[in-house]
Amino acid sequence: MRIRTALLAAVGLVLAVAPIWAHHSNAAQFDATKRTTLKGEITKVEWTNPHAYFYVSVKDATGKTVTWSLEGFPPNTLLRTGWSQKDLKQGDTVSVEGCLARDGSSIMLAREVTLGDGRKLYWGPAS
Amino acid sequence: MFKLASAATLTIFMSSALLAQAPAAQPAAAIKRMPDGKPDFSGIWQGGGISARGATANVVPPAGAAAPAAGARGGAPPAAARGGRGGGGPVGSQASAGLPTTPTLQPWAVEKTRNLKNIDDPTVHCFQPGVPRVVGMPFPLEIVQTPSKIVILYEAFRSYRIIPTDGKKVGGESIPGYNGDSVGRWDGDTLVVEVTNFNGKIWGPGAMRITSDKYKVTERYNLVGDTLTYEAIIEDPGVLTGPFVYRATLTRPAETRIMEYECLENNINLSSIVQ
Repeated sequence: MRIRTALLAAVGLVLAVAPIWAHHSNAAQFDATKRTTLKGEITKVEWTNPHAYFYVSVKDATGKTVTWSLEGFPPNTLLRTGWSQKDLKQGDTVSVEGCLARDGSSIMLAREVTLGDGRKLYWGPAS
Repeated sequence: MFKLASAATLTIFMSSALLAQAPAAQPAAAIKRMPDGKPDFSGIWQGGGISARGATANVVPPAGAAAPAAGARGGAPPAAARGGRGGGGPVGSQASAGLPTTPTLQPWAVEKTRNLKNIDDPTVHCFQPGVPRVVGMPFPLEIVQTPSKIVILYEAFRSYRIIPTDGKKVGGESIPGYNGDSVGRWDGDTLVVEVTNFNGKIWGPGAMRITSDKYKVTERYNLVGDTLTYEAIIEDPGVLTGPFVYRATLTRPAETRIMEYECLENNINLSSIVQ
């Protein structure tokens, strides 16, 4: 029964997540095979449409600081799926997993965000 | 005698009327109704999107229970990605029996579609998706129902429709638009809405990426328990070789309300959408 429930949940989530691409093609902009994890300090949060963004200041391998733009679901979707605007504050340190932009710019389609208190939430679709 | 005859006539008349309006496949008691006896469609509905599954859908599963997350990485058919899946869905009406669930384009339209890119999608530029794409968007919609009209407020793209249900078009001449003009009527417990006067600038559902000013949609809404089944027969003699049908099932999402969706607010990165 548990397995059946898990399977149904998996199928349901696939169906549920798919149409979130409605606004534009993530596949055109982001490479689902190029995934990475960034850790840094939040510099700005935009609860805006058609996509929410937050920006993180990250030190690269050379010690240079780069500001990354992290794209996600529309803000209404985020609120409906467990996020609060209080969860992301300027100055917080977060870890973000997602896929990189095809054009090599510092934009990521963010998927899993690990907040300072250890909670993990999805900011955007898987790919 | 006169009274009895009248009563009998009235009974026969009412019986005929009830028979004529009897739903084809659902018991009358199974659905919520308005004071006028019509099915009550009012409330918030949603056809797709992660938020339709409730708040817990977005929480990352703990280690060792990652099936939903892994599943979520699966790809989606392009049609679904554009807010309109063809095929599947609920069982259709008699009117749609035998119709294909995918469009067949005229040769010139096949050629033109081949050259279209995602950035050509009107919704990428925040234009309204039109009917029926707006139904498949991953946002809720709210139906406000009165005895003479139904108003649908779509969160997606700030879209709305006012649908008279007495079979009469409201007002006079109107400019062709993204949502066209809707005229509704009741066929038993089914709300049938004919939508015409489109501007030829929207994409149709599924793989239909071109429409003309001859684009016509015939929608059918049915309550099945607490589920809203939706069917749209698509006709466009300017683009298609024949009609096809799009179907969707809408359910009531977790407690929510229609919120603002101002798509133009921060529609950045368009230049990097290359296909």
